[in-house]
Amino acid sequence: MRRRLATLPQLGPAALFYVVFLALPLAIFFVYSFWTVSGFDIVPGFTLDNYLTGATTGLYLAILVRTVTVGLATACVVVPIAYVLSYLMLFVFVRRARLILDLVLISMFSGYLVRIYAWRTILGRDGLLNAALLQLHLIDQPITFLLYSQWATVIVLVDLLIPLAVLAVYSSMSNVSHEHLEGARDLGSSRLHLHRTILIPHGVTGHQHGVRDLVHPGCG
Amino acid sequence: MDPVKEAINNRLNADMGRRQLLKGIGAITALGAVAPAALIAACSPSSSASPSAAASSAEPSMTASAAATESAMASATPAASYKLGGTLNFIGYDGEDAKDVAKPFLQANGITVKPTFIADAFEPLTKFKTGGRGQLDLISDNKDFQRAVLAAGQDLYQPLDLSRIPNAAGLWPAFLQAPWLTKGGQMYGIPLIWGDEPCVYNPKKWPGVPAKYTDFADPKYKGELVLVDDPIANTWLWAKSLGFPEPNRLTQAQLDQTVASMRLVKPNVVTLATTLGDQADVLIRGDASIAIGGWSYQIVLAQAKGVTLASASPATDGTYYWSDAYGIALGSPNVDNAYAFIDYMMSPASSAAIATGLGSGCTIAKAFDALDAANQKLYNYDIVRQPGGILATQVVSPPQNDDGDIVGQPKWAKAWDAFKL
Repeated sequence: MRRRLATLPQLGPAALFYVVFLALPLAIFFVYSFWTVSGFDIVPGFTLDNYLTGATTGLYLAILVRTVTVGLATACVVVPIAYVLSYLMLFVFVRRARLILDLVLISMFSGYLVRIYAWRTILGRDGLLNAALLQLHLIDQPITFLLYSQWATVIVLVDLLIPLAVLAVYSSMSNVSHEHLEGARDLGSSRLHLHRTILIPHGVTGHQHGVRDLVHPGCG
Repeated sequence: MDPVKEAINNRLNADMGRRQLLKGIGAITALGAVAPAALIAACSPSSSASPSAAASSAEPSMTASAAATESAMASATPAASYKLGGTLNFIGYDGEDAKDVAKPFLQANGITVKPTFIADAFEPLTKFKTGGRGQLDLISDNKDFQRAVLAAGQDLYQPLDLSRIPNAAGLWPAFLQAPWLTKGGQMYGIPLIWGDEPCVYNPKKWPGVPAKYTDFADPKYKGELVLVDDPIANTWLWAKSLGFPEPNRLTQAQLDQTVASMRLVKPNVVTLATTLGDQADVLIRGDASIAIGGWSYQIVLAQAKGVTLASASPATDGTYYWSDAYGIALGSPNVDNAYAFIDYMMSPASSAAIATGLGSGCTIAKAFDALDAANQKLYNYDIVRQPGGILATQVVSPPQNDDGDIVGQPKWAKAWDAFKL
């Protein structure tokens, strides 16, 4: 108990930061959700109309479904990629792990807007992908469905979010020791069995973080 | 070169990058540094319009003579009779803080602009009402918002003492006593820039644009159109095309009819751009060939990248006109700075510089001669040479709330969301 109390001052600054910049704005946002708008004025009060409208209007429900679908689709693509990359870094290309991690994270040094425009350059009607496919005579007309579509949204979100997912999964998976894996292998475990019984359960925290942290921005 | 023009050119060169950034071009500029663009440039001759090329050439340094000229202009403002210096809190559209155009004035008077940029016309009022009163000085916003705020009697702007803005006497007649900025005989704002929203198209693909917006439903336009994600502008254009007498005042039935008409065009729309700059980017990349509700300056942006575009408005439907103006917030803590800043920006040189930098029309008559030929041709200045005119009478925004049978802005926004889905 005394030890717990002693840690409180250490947690203080971070806790204060979260309260001021996360909890408080969310609380204000929550209070506003019960208010109404009249012309230029926000009218304080208490009404559930905003929630009722959101929950019963087909338009908003359709938007919600589409939003969550995009978020989940993004997570479904990103988490396996992050898992494979983390596995390769930790257990296959151990000596090159740092280099691979740096290469994955280097994209975070560019702004997200820059990366979005880069994808536009790749996926556009006159973009890199179409130019290459046309040159290889694999298509005779530029493909247009990839850009300005839900596909494009998922592709770009995957690109934007892979570094974050890799960090989460890599961090969790790094708790698995090589000795642990070798012991299991010596006892006859197949590779699939190793993944199913050791790596995935150990990395589950990272996967949970990965999915949660990906679905949220994916929906956003 | 004429020293005034030279000063303008240098200011513009400093300001260009900012506006391009504002309109989404900055992202493309930065893109020039990343590998995919380089790869594209290497393997696709059709994409020779490198996004970085034009932008990198837009940043020459200011010459000594121009700096001296501008310094003289800065000290020639009426600032001397008031105590200037300190902070100027600006809230408004990015670029309209005139950071570079006003730099000599700001430096000469020891003023630091603290800008807050808005994406929505209502933000200044929201900020004002939520604790911002007494913290805002200079506001830039559009004419429909200003008209609505004044009509609703909302506290936001203070009446202006025009004797403290002598350069405002040089406004084009359409902007002197502009009705959207005047109430009870007092002015509450000074117009900064203006323009219209024509269709911008690729003349290699199209000889022109159809007579009506509804004509864009023709399947021959499939995959060729780009609109801006703007519920008000697009709904207004289509309502106008359907012949409704007041396109900003629609009944629910008329709004439904308008959205139904827009849906017929939707299959031909490639995407909804986030900004006018983004819309220009889609055109320049060749992903679409006609921008509806576009921006004449897109032609200039495209030209800098080796792409030829042209603009025209549908002959029958026409388009709408906009104007942004400076106002001073009630309770402004730095009111002297605000007045002096506005007056400086109303000098012919500043007006020409900000208009060119923002790809807009100038509001000061004498600034017109200082514009280069390309910018002079961007807009039809006959509109502003006379008092009144279409800028005074045309209203694009719907009422804030339902007004009898007339539906308010929230229903327009909802209809637009339904259109987008």
